[in-house]
Amino acid sequence: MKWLKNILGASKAERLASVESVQQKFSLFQSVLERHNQVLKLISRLEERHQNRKLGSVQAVWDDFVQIQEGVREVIDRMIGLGGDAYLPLRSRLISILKEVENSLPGTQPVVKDDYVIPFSRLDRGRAHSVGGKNANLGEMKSHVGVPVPDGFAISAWAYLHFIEVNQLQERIDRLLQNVRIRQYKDLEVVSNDIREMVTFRSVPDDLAEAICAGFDDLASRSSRGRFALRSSAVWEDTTFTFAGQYVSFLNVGRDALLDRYKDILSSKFTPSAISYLLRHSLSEMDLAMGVVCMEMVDSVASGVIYTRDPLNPSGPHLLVNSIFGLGSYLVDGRLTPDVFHVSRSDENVVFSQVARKPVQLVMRAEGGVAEAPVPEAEQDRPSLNEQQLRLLARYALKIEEHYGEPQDIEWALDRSGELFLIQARPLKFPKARVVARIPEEFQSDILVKGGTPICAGIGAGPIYHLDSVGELDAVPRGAVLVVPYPSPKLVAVMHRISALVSLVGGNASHLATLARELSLPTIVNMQKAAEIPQDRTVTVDGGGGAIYDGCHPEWIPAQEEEAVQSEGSPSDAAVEGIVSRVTRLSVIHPNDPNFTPQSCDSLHDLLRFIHQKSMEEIFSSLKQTANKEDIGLRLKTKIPLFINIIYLDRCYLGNGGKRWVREDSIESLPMKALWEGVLQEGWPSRPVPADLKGFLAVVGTEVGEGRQPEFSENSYAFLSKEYMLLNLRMGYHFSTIEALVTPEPEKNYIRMQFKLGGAPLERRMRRIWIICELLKRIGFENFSQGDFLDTTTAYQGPEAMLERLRLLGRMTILTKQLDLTLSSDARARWYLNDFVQKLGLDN
Amino acid sequence: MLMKRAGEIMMPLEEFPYIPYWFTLRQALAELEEAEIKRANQKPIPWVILVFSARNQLLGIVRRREILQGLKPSLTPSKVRDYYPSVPDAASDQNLYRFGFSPEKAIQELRNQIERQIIEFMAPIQATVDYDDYAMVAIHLMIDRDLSFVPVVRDGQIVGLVYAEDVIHEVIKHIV
Repeated sequence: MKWLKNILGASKAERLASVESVQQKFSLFQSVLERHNQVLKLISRLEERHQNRKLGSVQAVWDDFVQIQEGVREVIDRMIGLGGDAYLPLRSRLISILKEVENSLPGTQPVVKDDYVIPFSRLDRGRAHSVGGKNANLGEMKSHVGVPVPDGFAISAWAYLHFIEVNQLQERIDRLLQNVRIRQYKDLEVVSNDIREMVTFRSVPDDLAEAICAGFDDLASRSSRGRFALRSSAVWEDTTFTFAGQYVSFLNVGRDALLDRYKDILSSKFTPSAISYLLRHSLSEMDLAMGVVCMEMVDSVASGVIYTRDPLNPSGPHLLVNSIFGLGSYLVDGRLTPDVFHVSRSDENVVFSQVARKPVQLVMRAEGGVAEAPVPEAEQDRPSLNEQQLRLLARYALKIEEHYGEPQDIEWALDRSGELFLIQARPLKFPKARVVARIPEEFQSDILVKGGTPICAGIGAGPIYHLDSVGELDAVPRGAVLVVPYPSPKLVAVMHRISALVSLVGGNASHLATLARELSLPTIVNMQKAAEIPQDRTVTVDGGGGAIYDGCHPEWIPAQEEEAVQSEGSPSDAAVEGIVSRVTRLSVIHPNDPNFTPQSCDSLHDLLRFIHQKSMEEIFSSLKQTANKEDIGLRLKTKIPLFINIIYLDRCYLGNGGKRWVREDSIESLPMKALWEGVLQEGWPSRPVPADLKGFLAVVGTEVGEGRQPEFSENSYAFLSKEYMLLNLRMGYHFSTIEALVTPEPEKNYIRMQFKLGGAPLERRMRRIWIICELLKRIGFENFSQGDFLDTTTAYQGPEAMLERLRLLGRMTILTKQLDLTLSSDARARWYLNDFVQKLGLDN
Repeated sequence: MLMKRAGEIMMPLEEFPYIPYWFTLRQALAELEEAEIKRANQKPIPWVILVFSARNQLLGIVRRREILQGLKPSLTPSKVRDYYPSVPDAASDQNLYRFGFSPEKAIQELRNQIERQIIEFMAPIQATVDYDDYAMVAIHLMIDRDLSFVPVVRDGQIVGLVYAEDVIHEVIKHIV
């Protein structure tokens, strides 16, 4: 039977197995790309927020970080599935990058032994490590600044430790954490809920409960108010990287609910991101120790926040007051638009007021808790503070600022008797001055082009320089406004010496966008019309506004002095920077560089880029090595004398029996369809040779005889899916492999062509490569050639642009068939290049 | 003195331009132009383009004569006779020919011809000599087939052309 098999080729089962294995590889490849893209989006979102100084809390950054690292881990797993054990080093590289992130974070200190309950009168700012920052500052203001602060006491971090110990929570939490093996965010949420539940259902140890109740009774006996609030006061808040639920507060807490609310505050810190932080750091949850504030509640008619400096204008001469009716929560969580007052720092005059409509307010309920109540119609538009109160508030605020020696962010409340209280103070954090371009109105008419996608804000001015090919970077003049056809990462080589960058196409998630943000280079992408601005025209680019103005306006570039006003970067800022850079920073190592290895990946972004590149290489080579390529799939029915086997990757189609042919007009693959349109447009050049010329067997100038190379013994074949194509074309004496992925998402798309061999002497083959390179450069490919081997790619384009390029590739394939033989001199090569440029319409 | 072999007196293949047979007259003309420039300081050799097939087999050659053949307008002296059947010596009447032939028309005609494929007007190869054949073999072939050159084959590949001039030169050395 063996002879029969030899005649018939592989058995049906074998062919089926071949198809299945290749389809499986392909779906792995797609899953790598899919996940890769999702993670890339997370990264670019983080980058964007970092760029725009909108990172928010450390916690939010950490949340992103956890999601991104999960994503990267998954991409790595899928990559190992696709490419095998060779990619195992990616795992260890990921681990060491994560370790580096941890090492860059500030450490924590052990909780100090202290009383469980400490009244404000015994506290000052030196006790922050014991009771948390909020408690310590309240004590400091009460005792050392001499401003009115409601009475209260702190429940210390030591008390928290006691609670955990007595209930043996440490062990239970550890056990729960051990089971979080995959470290999925969803798993973390489950564990988070478990731990919180556990904390809530334990009881407060008797001695601690006694101390808290005694403290409370003591406070109540001194207080005329009879209403109290519990607020969290995390120990390492503002000093290190903590996830304590800094902002959890319970208002109007009665004695009977006291202990339950205390536990609620303790449990509120076990957020999923805090847990992942613990896991990463092999910390005990002790390192996130929590103090709690218990203080008299001011039954406020108005409350709000005062900044001793205007964050938007830190050098300005006034303080900034925000104010609403009722309790302050509605201001902090943004429910109401507050009244805004500017009060002079020098004479406490109110220099500006903007009264907002305040239809509702938050008030205390007699039975405990709080409730929303309407503000009487007549009152709604009334200012919530009068001038006298504003002056007094300003005086207190300046006193606190003077005491602490830096701008402050202070919460205040006004009680029914008209008395002002300060209920929290902390250093004012300025958003890092985002350098906002202020372009005067009258220049609106000078806009040459607008509507691009802003990538990096800022102003850059200089002469326009159109760069047609990234191969000619040396020619880019210093200070130019560089206009490029597409965002190639290679541009990084000149980004330090240009004043702005404009790309005709592109989106937010390109590597170039990352680099531009990193270098703070004013950059706009997706701006086709920039191509029409003449070379050397002097322009000013507004990166944030996505517009290009006529003329040079360096005066629009905002002065940098605002930077100097910023407060020193706090440790948590440093932590944020450390995380962001380890996630997003991209080292620019070219895939052809021998250093393009997992070991040289310094960030999660690097890992992703490495995997992206390698996943393409892996699918490429595994498709090419598919067994029984000759026997599986369908044959393309075409007048072009090429035998092309088509193997569909997204459909089950053995092509056995029944239909064995695919008509040209029913190719179900976008890239293949486009390429083939190009081939047909040029048409197969050679008519059959007249019979009397045949049989003359001498061969000109071949170095590669038929059948001597395995590649040449094969027919052409194509692996296709709706959006993917891998076409191995044997065209006479050369072969080319064209791979393309064309999807609606530009970030995923790429075309890659490899081209090798030919029948002519090397010199002539190299001339053909030169012509092909020159043509490809003109349509946005990046070429890498060595001898007569060409490897060329293009990426990050929308589907239309990609399909157009494939059509051109199809035409070029025909035009350059056996061209190498004729290229006896460089002059001939130039002649053909010009000829083809005209033919393909690339000469504009 | 031994008589030289064909391989020793041939012009090696690298000296010649070659193009596939589906290339056009325009491309052949470009090759001709280029060759004119290149040959300024070289030993004058009769200019020729080798024409090969999709399997890189040598099919024929193109010389100036074939180029002219390719450029040949549709109206030739011999066709003039068809237009003037009543005039017996129309074909030899140059004036009659010129009469129907303006420069503008000529240029237009040439443009029409320029995309013709080479295979339509090339001269097919009729014979080859082996690299180790004596020069005399080439002479015999040239006389027999009325050729001015013969391709030289070695190991199944064309490696050069032997020209009548060079063969004669070699033979003269032995007989004079």
